[in-house]
Amino acid sequence: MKLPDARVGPYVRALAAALNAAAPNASHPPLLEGLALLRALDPAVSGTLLQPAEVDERSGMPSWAWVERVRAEAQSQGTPDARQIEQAQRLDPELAARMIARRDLLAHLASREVLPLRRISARVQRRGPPHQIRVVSDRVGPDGRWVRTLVALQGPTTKLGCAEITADGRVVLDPGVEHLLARHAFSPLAALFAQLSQVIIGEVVELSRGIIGPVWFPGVALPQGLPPELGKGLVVHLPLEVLATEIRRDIDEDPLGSSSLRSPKGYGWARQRRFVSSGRAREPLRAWLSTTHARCEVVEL
Amino acid sequence: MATAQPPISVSSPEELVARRQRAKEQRKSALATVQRLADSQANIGQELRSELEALQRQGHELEELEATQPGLIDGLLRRITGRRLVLERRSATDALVRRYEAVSTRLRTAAAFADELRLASLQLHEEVQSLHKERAAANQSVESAARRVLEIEQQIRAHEAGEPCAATLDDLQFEHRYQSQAMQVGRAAAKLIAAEIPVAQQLRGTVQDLHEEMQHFVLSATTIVDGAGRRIQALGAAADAPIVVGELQQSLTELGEAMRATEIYLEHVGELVAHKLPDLSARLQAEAESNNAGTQADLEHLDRVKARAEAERALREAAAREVEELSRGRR
Repeated sequence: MKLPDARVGPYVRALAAALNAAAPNASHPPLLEGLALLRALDPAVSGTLLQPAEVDERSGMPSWAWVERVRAEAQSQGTPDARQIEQAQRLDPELAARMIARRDLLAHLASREVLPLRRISARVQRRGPPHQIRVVSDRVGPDGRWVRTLVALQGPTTKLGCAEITADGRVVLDPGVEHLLARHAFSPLAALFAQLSQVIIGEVVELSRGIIGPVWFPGVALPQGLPPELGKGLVVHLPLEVLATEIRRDIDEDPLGSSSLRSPKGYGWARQRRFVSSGRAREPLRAWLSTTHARCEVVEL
Repeated sequence: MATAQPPISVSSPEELVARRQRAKEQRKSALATVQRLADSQANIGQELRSELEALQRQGHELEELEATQPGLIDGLLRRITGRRLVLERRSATDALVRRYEAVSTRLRTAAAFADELRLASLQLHEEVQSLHKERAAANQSVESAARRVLEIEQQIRAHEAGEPCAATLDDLQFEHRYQSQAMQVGRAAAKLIAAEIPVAQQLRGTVQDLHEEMQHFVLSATTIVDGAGRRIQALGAAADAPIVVGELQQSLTELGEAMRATEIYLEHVGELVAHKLPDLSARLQAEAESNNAGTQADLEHLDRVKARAEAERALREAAAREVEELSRGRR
């Protein structure tokens, strides 16, 4: 869905305000990086340089292609200098506006950490035995949602199969782990758990997936069966799913959770969904939530 | 690219020599800039072709893999036994996405370069406009000097017919000679500027060609590659193998179109760099030499009779220009 020019700025700024209000925790992609990405998409910084401003019709998030242009622009060559901009301002205001937007965008990208399309990192969480490492994978999904997958692995030695703790305390990951997490970025958590269990010497002690999105606002397709009033304001979803040995009792507080909970033996499952909602959609949202089994936090925007 | 200079009036042989030298340097600098822009354009095109080829190759490999081992992509989401097997399995679409990103980066560089070309063509256009103004100013000063020469000529004749005063006659002769020289220098300057205009126009045209081709190419390639990119990245979410392969084939067809557009574009730029620019450079050099010889001849000494004839000719030419302007409907 292509946003009309006049809606691009209000859209990214409303989404940024909602994320600020939501204050997602470390189980979700980092807030500051997400805000820096939205700022880059804002026409106040990048003008029309990154357009067309496309939003995924189902997730309501900035499309992957739109976000990818930020990455491509950051890596491209050709920052206009002050003399060129001054000449362009005299000769062709439209060209000058484009050059200024490129200069401002590149300056913004150089000064902030922006949420990348994908990233993986690992660190030692506990020196053992048992040794524990934590793998964090952030990704902008094909439908534009931002996903963070956290994996805590534990093994009797520093060699964990898919990862190894070096003498100086670093974690060297097998490149296959990134591909494994990429393939399973959106498959059911149980499937990812099963795959991970096969590649480690030891056990998965915690596996979580925190997502930012979808975003419901006028023009976005709601899932079937939901009251249309939910799409008349702004509703941002922050679902989180955790599978961990420390969870004693399964908890399902996600009104949109699709798969049934079947935790492996020795593990507990928790599923929740937080919302940020603007005034118009807040009451319909609360009304709809009251008809479901889930108790969800609704943050007011 | 040199910034266009404000119009100047050339009133002495020294200034004319300086003007000629400046024109020569500007031409040399502009040609070097155009050559650099054309080279950069060719390089960006070559790099894009190379990235597009790699992207297409990777897509074909994936397609062939799926043809020889049906269900392979579908199998990516299935449970696989054995740690090494699981870890060795690569995300096929991830590799394609990375290739796509490389192409996308090149296209953004190409778009920034298209803006640089646009600015260069605007600067050259400004220079052409400035030359037109300079020529008009030179013609005006010739016209004004010519009128003054004829006026002084009449005054000298009138004075010679009566009782000549030696001091007045001397003053008129001094003024006559001064205005004759101004007219002569002005004519030479106008001729020099007139010869510079087509040179600047040709350079402007060349940069405009480069810009138009680059802009057209970036626009069409971006549309195609964007479409292919959307399909490729969407593969990551698809679990149904027939859909995956169908989408992939569509993407590969689109990338093929982008490759063809790149080939045509590179052919045009290659032709420009290999033939048109050297031809232009040689032609400009020849024109500069012939113009130089002409200007020297114009600066030869004029006697009174010849000066009067020159003044009358200058006024006739000025009148002819007025008629021409009028017939173009500008006034």
